[in-house]
Amino acid sequence: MSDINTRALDRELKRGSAELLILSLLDARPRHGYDLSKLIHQRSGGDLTFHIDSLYPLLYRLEERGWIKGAWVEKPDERRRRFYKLTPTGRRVLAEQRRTWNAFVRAVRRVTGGQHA
Amino acid sequence: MPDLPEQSSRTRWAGEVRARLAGLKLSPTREAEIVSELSDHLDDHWRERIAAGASTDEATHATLALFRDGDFLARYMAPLRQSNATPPPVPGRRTGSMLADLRQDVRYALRANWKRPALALAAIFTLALGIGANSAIFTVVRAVLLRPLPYPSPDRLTMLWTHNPRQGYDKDVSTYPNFADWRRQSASFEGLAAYIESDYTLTEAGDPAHISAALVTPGFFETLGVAPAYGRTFGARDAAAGERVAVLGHGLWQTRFGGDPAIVGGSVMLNGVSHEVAGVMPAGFGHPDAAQLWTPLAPSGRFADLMQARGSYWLQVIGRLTPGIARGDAQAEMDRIATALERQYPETNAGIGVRIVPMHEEIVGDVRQPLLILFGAAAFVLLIACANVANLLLARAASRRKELAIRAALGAGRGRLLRQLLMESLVLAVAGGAAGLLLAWWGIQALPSLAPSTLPRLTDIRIDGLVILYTTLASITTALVFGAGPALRDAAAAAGTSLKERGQAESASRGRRLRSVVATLEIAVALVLVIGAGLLVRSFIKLNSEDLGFDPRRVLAVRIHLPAARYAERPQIAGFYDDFVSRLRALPGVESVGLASSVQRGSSPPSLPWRVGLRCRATSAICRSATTRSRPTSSRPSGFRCGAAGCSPMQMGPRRRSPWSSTSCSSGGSFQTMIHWASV
Repeated sequence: MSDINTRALDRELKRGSAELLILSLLDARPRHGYDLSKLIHQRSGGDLTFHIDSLYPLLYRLEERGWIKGAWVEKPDERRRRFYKLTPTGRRVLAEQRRTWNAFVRAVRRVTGGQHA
Repeated sequence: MPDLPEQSSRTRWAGEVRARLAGLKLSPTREAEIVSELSDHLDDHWRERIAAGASTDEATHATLALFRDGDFLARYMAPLRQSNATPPPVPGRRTGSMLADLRQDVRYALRANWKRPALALAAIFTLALGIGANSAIFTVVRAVLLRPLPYPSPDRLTMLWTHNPRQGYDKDVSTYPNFADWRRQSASFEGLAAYIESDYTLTEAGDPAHISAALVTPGFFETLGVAPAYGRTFGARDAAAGERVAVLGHGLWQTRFGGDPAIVGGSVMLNGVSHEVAGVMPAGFGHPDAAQLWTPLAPSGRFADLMQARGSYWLQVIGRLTPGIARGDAQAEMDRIATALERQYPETNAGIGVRIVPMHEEIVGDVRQPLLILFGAAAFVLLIACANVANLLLARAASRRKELAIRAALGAGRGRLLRQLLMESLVLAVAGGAAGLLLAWWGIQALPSLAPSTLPRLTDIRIDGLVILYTTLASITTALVFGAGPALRDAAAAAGTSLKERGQAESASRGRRLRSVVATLEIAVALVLVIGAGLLVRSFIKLNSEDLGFDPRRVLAVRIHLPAARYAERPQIAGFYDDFVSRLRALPGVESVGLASSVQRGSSPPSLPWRVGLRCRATSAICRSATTRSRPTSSRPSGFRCGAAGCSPMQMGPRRRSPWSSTSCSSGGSFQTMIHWASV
């Protein structure tokens, strides 16, 4: 696959799954923005990277929808950070998005996987 | 690893973030949060790079690479609600929009009054009483004095009175022959009609009922300019044929006949005689006020003799001026006609003139002055309420001095402070006005049972748009009256003093002087009201303690209307009353029974419903010399005329009409009992 096609695919896939990524990482426990950014990069093996100017607008958009909630937390010997956690609405949305994503992936696999001319 | 101070690195990142947020309408608080959060992210990344062995420049370059080239941050933030926040209001600072300033002032006013609920409630209650009283009185004034009569071109409607200054009669009723001559000879009126109030016993559609009515000449309804809702009114043929046709009033038609248009052409039993229903008048029509139905004044009816007598005064006359004719010109013409009649009929018309009075003035003339006095009194009450509230606001000023000084320090000018303080007063006044309007509405609902019977146009009294507008203006004016003084004082004090509270003593002294002035004004106004009320109470006591010439305690009055069809002859009538009186005397608890009737000039039995009451103490020569032709002021007897048959009272006619004396036949029991007029 050419670089251009890879970049285009990367962009489109990221756009469609960005919310799912954030919500699923927050499902385990509350996290702050830098933590989310690092986890995505690490768990994707470096394939997925969120720029700061797209990560935080996404977080704020999810917060305005009521899917996540941010709060400043100050721990001893640490700087004050803004942690985000899932709301009940966010959990329902995450479950729905996981179902949708899994169904999509299965459908794509059925079409593309294991069948060569 | 270079040991950079935390603050300087975050400061650097904060600048980078802030530069990328330019152009967004973030609130300062939110912008600070975003800057802090993103700065932390950048700083964490930079420190990790440094910890991984990168140089400062490499770490910085890598960190800044987290931003993409261009304004992506602003672009992605722009659609969010937080990026389009309304800037928070700064106390005292103009927002640039009059509406926004007004909203801000209202919010502050509501908050300021909310913080002091006791004062606010006391002020609202006080203002509600004052504004409510004014609104209620204005409602009455509007309906009675200001609202035009419900007829087409009401300014052309007039009443025509007989005027006899030699005998001391300014306005008297007319005779039928005089009325007929006026109608025949005058060109100034496009319609002249006459009527007499009467009553009937209706025995149709339900229990027998006493119905107030009026007998009218042809053209009565046309003169007033009102067409029937159903059917027709009277013509000359109906009058010539007799009284046996009726036009129903809308109220009577609804209550007794179910609002059925099919009653037109049917018949109703009035005084035992069948009358054809010619028509039904529309809702809201009622002249004279009490009339529930109308019948024609017939030359062959019960007033036949009176209609021939030029010296018998009994009719009220209405007229509609011809378009283009001024009342003065009509008066001049009627003066000429009266002079001609005086020459033609010197025995009956000597000194008799005609006086034309606008109908509206006729209806409301008697109550205009009392209503206006009442209106003035209500205005005084409101003034006292304003003084009360002003004092409350002045007393509150001390606790607000620091708040106002802070506002002034934040940039609020004197004018802005004044506006905000006046807005607080306006909020109180509007709340008081709304509560007052509710009180006025309740008062208006109770008016029919409380108002004197002499108050005209009672059914027209209701709260409408003009009353609401008046209440609103009264509220705004009230706010200015009671709020201006304290607001000017507080605004000046806030603008002139600092937060260190310099000059507190001087400010307190000024406040006490102003409160003294307000209190003095309040006492002066209250004194005027108390004196006026005291005079009214004294008059009322005097009126109630007036010696009537008889003891009205334990006396009941009964008015009886005998149907003419069954009791046409005197022996029949006498027989009925003999039986009636003897049965009443036999009732336990009845001490004495009497009845009286009056016979007017001529032999025709009178049928005018005059009220009479008296009780002379036994064996006393109670008679006082009768005074005839006095202007009625109440419905009580005002004197007696004694004849061979005994003493008889001077009966007072219906309101606005002069009574006349008459002799009375009295039964033996009439001097022990107050009796009522019985028409025979």
